[in-house]
Amino acid sequence: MSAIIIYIIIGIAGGIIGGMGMGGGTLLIPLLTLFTSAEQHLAQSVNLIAFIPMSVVALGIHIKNKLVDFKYFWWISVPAVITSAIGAFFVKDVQSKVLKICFGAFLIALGVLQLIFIVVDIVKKYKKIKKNNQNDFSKGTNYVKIYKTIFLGEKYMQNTFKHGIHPDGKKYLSENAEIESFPDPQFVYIPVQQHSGPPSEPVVTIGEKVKAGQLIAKAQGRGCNVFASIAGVVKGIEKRPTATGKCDHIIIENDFSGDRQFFTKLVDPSREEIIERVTEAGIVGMGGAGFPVGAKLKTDNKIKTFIINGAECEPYITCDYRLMVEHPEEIIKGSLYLAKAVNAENVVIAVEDNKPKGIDSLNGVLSSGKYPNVEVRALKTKYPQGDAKKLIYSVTGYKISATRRSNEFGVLVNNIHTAFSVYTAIEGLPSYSRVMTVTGEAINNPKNLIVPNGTLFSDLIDFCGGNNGAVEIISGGPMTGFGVLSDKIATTKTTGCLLLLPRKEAWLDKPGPCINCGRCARACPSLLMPMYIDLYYKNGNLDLAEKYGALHCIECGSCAFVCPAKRPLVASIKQAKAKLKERSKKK
Amino acid sequence: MSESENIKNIQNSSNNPNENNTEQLYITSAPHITKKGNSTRRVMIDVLIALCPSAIAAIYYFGYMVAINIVLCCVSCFGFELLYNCIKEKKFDKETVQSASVWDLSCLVTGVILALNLPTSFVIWEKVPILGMIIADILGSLVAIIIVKMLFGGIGRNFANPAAVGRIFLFLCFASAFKAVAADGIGLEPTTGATWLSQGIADRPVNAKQLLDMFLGNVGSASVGETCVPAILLGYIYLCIRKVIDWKLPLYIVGSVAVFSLLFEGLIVSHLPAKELFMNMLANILSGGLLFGAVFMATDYATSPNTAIGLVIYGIAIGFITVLIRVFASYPEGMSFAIVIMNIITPLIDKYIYPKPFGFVKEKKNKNKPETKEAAK
Ligand code: SF4
Ligand code: SF4
Repeated sequence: MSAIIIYIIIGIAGGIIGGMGMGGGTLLIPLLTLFTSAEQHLAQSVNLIAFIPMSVVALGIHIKNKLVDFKYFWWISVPAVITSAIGAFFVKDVQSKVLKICFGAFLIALGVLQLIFIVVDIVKKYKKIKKNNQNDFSKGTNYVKIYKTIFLGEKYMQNTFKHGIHPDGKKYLSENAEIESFPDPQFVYIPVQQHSGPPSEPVVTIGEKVKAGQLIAKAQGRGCNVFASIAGVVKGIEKRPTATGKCDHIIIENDFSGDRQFFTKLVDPSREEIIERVTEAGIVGMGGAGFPVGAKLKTDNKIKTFIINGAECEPYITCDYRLMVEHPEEIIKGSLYLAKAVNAENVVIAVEDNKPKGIDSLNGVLSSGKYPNVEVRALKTKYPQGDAKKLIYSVTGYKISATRRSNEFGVLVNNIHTAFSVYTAIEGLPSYSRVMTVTGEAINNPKNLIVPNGTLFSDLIDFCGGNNGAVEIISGGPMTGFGVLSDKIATTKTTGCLLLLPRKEAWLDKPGPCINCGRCARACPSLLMPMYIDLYYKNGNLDLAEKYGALHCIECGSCAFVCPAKRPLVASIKQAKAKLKERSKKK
Repeated sequence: MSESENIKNIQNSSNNPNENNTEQLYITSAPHITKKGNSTRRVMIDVLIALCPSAIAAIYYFGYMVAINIVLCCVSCFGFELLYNCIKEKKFDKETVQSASVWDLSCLVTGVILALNLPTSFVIWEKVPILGMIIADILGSLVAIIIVKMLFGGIGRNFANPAAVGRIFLFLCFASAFKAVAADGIGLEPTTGATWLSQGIADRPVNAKQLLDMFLGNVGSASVGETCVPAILLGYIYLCIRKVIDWKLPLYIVGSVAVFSLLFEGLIVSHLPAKELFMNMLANILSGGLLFGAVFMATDYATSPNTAIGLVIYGIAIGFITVLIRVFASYPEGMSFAIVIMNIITPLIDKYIYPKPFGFVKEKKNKNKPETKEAAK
């Protein structure tokens, strides 16, 4: 009885290994001689018999998967049959022990040979890669890149980063909704601060008549111009809450005259002209950070690659995707303007591979051959692929920490919507409206809309069929956006999404104690240890919070997303970061 | 920096009370969504499911006493944790019970693992054998839950695996009662009560049939849950599929036990032929609760390191200590001790081994340093 079970186990092991094509015999024979009383001869003959049904089944599966090449069938099988008959004839006179040693020696020789081949192969590939990427390695050899290429092949080389999460995309809600124009509302409330930097200074007076596209607040310092988004009369300047704080809003009442005031169109602009126009038109990074693009382009470093960020990795949001599908040519032209402004050699438009239609549409334009320096790169779908530093790593292999600037490495990143806005700015349109996604399970008709800045969320919600049981209204995406308490908040240049979450989707659970499961650390794309940052920050030990990497956090939210104890890790890491920055300033 | 400022702040607003289909609005910090079906309780339920095959096998092999043990341990673990909660809050009403930490079910995991770590017969008082069992269960749960877990701050803060400490405590208190008992077996010839490990290292040759018995669990054992390897493997596969544990950790442990046992036994009893050493190595892996410990006890979240390199060190060290104890102390309990020792060392591992942030460059090489200084000014 027990012997039978041993045979069964040996059979299972031999079958699996044999089916994988590694030769069941290499396992079957040692197992039989080691664990049963079988002689070497017996073991070998058992192996040969067992081989017949095993190989028939395995062959059938391999044929089904189209892995069999019949070209050499006869050339191999005829000599093999003849010689195996001869071998079997001779082997019956050989002693079992000798046979055993021969078999062992054969296996060892085979193993050593395979090892040598592998090593030679790796060395060859290594040399080749190093030669091909001579330039890229000027900043020091990137071993990770080399190893990845060797072991995973070119295909997997650079299109992803370590860790990260796979949240449910939920893009289906709005991805097929074509971009519509939102009709100009009765009132707009335009915040004077829509960018990172000092608020702009209003240059209009109450009661003044303005046209759409007219400058209403002038940039201060490293700030950004603000334009009227509708034609009408300035009704007042008022401090109102925004999604992130409070600032002055310029209130304009629509007079429905539709008057507009644009810049002149630039034809074949020079480098300086592009930068000037981008600054003048008040374009900011539309991905969310709101860094003025003009300031970004005035870099002293030599830029080699300009990456256009079309990853759109956050769930729900689809505005960049719709832009790609509907306006590929404009995006490509806009990115070329951006590249020209910094004398970049090539442009890479990076798109997550869950947007095949967007990639096709961009490639469709590129296939005309008019834009040789532009490349569309499909990246693995993973959150936060759209973070600038992770994107650079995925595309170029440079590891740049969150505390450093990318231009030192000769790379600049800008959002795809920014490229589109740059194009329209060169055509003459100041930045006063943007494409936005209004989505979420709690909105009746999710839509992609062109929205004038300063439109109230409540107007957008009404336009999209109304609020259907939302417990959270979020300005921005679900991972990094800001929750707002009232829907009387105005959109800005950086609001890419308005999200209404119903009770079922929203995260309202109370946090529990950390169970130290380590999932947050395994999810963190910056390779931090969020649980310790959280723990030590709460214990008041800022030094340890810094040691575990608080300053390198990109606030992506991956850690909190996967936490089974539902700990609000990001909130406390943000606070730890703020405290640490404050402390270093004091020093 | 008050605590309330730090927790995920949920504020209610009464902004739109009069519209029909609008619910009350909340404001929370980002991120606003979280992984579905992912909670501490879910994790614990997964572990319980993974323990089921082992529990069933144990009941099948060792009889109904095991079932009684499991129930008793679970009830007393649950009870102790609830009691602790209530005493701490100084309230005994329904609300306290509802908000108690027992509902994450981690106490049940401790209870089941503890029960599976006990022998079937635990004779303290000859006349009423079952009494010893009951005392052992309750005492073990008390030590595991109150002393190891709750006094150190509850779930996630225990310094060592509660069940392992509970078992060691009982073992040290009632060492003589910890007798290995023969399994009833599944139709195969029942084996003797003595475990393979408790025999002297020099004279315990194993043959393939014994190995098979060890694999199937058809051997005597001092703890009931560890014998049936297929059941443990089932649990292991389930835990890996559900991504509850890191699949690599048990392999590190088993691998290091294999290597070190081969090494040490080869050095000590060097007269054995290679084949027998190999068989001994397999026997080492299959006995003494090694697999059960590797899958269910060493992987305890609170007491295992959180980095990949830390896990390698932790796993290999557990294997090393286990073999050391087995070979030089001829103590079959090696595994539990090794786990507890490494549990205690884990904070040290996590202190010195932590990942470098993405793109981290050492200060010295950082050419920007002067620039950042200027910016700071
Ligand atoms: S610690 Fe920061 S960077 Fe890491 S996952 Fe959390 S939010 Fe993202
Ligand atoms: S994921 Fe949550 S429970 Fe797990 S270690 Fe991180 S903070 Fe703790």
